[in-house]
Amino acid sequence: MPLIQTATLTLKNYRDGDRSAQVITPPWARRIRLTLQRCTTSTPTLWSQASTYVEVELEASADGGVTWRPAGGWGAYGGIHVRRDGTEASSSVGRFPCAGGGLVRVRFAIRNGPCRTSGDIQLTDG
Amino acid sequence: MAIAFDASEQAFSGSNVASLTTPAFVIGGSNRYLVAGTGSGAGTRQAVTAVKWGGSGGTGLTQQGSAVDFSPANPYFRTTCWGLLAPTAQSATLYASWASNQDETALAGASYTGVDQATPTGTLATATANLSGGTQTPAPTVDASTVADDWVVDIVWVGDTSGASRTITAGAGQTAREEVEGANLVYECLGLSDEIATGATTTMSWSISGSVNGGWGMFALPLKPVSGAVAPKRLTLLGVG
Repeated sequence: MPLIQTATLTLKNYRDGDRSAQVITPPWARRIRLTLQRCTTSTPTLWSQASTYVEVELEASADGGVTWRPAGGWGAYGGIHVRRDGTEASSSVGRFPCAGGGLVRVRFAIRNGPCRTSGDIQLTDG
Repeated sequence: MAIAFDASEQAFSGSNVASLTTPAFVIGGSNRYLVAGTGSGAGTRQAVTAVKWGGSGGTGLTQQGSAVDFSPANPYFRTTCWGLLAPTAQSATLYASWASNQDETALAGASYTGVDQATPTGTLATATANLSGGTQTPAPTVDASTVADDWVVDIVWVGDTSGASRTITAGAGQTAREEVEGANLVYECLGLSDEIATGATTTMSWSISGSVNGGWGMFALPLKPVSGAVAPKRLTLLGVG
């Protein structure tokens, strides 16, 4: 059975600016997945403005937070994104390698907000 | 000094983003050149607006080529090839951005040393194939014009609307540096590999694990070694003694 650990990002209105969350990575962690919920017809209040840009950056530390190394990231615009199969995308997701037994810091930068959303930071063993 | 591989990294998303940043990697050595490839898939495919070394505020790479029409019946896929002469030697990230959210995105980059800084590259070779209208077995291949001791770097992007989680394997003689495939990106595969040229034509190829409904686009960029840095020739001395 795959090992999974999830930290939830609370649903609320996030104003412009940067904020970060830090998690301890268990020794078995190999991947980290960063997910934010998107606007759809059934969730019209989430990340609803197409001009609202959210950038998610990941940093990793192997020395208890003394030094940090960029470890990947993604950015996305809000509004309803219709995929090529005609469905509405319910989330934006990026997945990156992750060394276990250290710290991971996730920075969320919101521009042209506010942005109402929720999400999660998920660690997996593969 | 001959050309040598230095470092590489990748990033990808299967879900609706407009930019990607790789984990940090270190570029070092002398006579440096950075090659990058992007791929995207979406109902409304968009151009890449920038690829940068050093994050979103870093130094822009120059687009070497773009392939957008390799799947006209499934016009969802796009790939580009980028290069940067003398990238700053540092630990940093590679960044790519698109004009709007794309369903799937991928980015890979590789740096090399020993590249001629006056004439770093030969002619970019581009090939595409339309494999839409029913699943077909693709064999991405492109021929680059080379001379011996060039290093040919190739980028391949395979688009498959079937979402069959295909995997890719670099052709014989090539060294795969980055691959995004399988469950990580079920509708596409991205590959970056290199090979040392031995003659006037260097064929770069990949095999796919099964048939696809879509197409592929591929680039091969020859890197030129620093002048006079070819492999030493064997000398035969005559009339000695």
